[in-house]
Amino acid sequence: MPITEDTIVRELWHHRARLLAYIEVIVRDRDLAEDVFQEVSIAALTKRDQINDAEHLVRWLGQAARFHGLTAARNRSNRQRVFDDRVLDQIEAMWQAGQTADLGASGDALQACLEKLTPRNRELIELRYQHGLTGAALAEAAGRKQNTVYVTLARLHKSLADCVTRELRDSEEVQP
Amino acid sequence: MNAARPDTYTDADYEAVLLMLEDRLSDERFDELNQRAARDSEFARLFLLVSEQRWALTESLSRSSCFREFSAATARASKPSLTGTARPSRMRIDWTAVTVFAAAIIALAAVGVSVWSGSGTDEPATPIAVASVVAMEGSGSSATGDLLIEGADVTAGTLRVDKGLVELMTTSGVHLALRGPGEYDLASGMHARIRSGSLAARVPPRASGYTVRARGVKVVDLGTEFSVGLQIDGRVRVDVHAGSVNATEFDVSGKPVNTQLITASQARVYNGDGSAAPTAVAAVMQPVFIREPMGVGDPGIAVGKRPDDVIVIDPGAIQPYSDQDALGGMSSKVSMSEGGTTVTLSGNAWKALALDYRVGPDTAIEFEYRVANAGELIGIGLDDDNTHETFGRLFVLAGTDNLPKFFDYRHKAAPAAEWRRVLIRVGSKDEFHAKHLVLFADDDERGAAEASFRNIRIYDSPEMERVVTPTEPTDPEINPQAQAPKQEGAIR
Repeated sequence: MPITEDTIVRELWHHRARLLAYIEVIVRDRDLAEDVFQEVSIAALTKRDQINDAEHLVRWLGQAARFHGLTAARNRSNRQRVFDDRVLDQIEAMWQAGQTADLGASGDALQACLEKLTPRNRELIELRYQHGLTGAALAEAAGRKQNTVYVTLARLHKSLADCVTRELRDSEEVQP
Repeated sequence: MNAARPDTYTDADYEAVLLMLEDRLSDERFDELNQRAARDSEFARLFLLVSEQRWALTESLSRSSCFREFSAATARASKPSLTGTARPSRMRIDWTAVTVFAAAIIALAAVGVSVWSGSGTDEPATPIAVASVVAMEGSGSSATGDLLIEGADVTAGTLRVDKGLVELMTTSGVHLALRGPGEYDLASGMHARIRSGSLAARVPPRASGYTVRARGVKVVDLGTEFSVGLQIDGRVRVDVHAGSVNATEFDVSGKPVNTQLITASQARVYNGDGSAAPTAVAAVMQPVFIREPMGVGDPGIAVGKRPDDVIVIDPGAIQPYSDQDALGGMSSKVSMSEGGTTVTLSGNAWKALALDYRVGPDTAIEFEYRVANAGELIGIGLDDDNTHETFGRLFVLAGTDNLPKFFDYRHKAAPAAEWRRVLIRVGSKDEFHAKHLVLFADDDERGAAEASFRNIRIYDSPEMERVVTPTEPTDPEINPQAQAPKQEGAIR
């Protein structure tokens, strides 16, 4: 018996941020990643007869996102570099296994860590990920030099990841 | 779960991955990254880790912003007025915050109920709403075939606007005005594609990155108000009213060929297939959004007597009128002075102010005007259908063009370099519901017309019939006892 439509919708919602991330790694463009996400979502609903259950859906999404992502990246530009199949195989396997889910997208822990940032660093994160600024516009709005903006952002990503790790560890320790 | 270990990665690793995700690496550096990931699966894991964190940040920041705005809107709506003697103001709810917050709640509730009930049925899932209708001045239908009505949800798919304007608030908080006839693909709260027609978008900061596509042109918002239209000749026009956008044109193979930053008061026209560089044209200064109309009780608008005060124009409420504004790529400028009681149009400007007024036989417009350059047409009128083609709604005061559909006042109200006061009885024997006050300074050829209007009043008085005829401008102060005879064949 094929998977139900409401199960597909529920799973797509549940995996939304992770699936967008997986697609972004392939296409390296956030707008294009959202377009591909839409294509994959529609494909999952229209081809649900081929999908057995939620577990099968996750595998199916991983393969469909890779196919549609690579197609979109190549359509955008014939010259765009894409990762080797070996690398894509690894990433697809990690995505399907959910190996980064807790650290990448744990909402409560991430929110707690965001509140620990200095106002200036918090502003930089907001300018990039809430307001969508990039490049020179981001540097100008943040009042920093362009070549230091991405260095700072990279350090903030690392410190947020470290912080989320600590938050998750601490919450596990207080569980009865 | 085999969790990744972020503390094993260096700052340089994070920077390389971040630049890779932003597509800012040279080909050589990308190849190095690719080779390292092939050797080191832990490093490949970092790609997913950073990207997931980026999307989680976007969603987390958007959620907290929605909640703050919803709380603020609720507080504003429930705050008692401090001006008890003033005309009761219409409550203005921050629909952006309400819509976004409500959409988030509905979506989460839908998922929550589904999970709680452990549904195993095979009933069709409820389509996901991407926007809701917040204002209408026209008609259309959604992807599900339902007629559009104010307050209705709009689901992902193709939305059709048959005529007029339909305004939406997307789930990401973007305010859209879709002009009919037109067809629009709404894939999500952050994307729209124009199949035909034109749209205007007002994008709040949290929805920066909102993307509109039309043929081979992609317009990405950088925090702004802008319009995108697919012209009859197949070309794509992009106008930026505030802020800036990044516009990219793709050739037929999908390769980006023209990428430009378009800033406020700039406009470009693209072929849509990358066959030529875009053309710079004069920008339309104001986006098209339906405003709360002026009505009886607002300054300068009355029934039964001449109001003591005059219309105060909200600059943000001025809209392009019909399809005439900035026609021919001419400029269209409007400026306000005297606290909003005086408005000056220049270039090739056709402007409308939303109005809610029942026009009868005794309805009049009273105003003063001054012409610096008559151009082809200078005029005013009350209109019910947002088109200049309807007979008898507009009055020409100056200019060189002759259009039989307009009342011609030029022989009565000669071009005036100085302020001249005019009273026009606009009513006809057939009552109609006026939806716009229209002002125009038309010059399609040169874009050089310029005229000012001030102290505008709209009112309805039984005395009017004794005072003026439909084609007789009369100065009520200079000649308050005027008993001008009705002209032969005058339209009432």
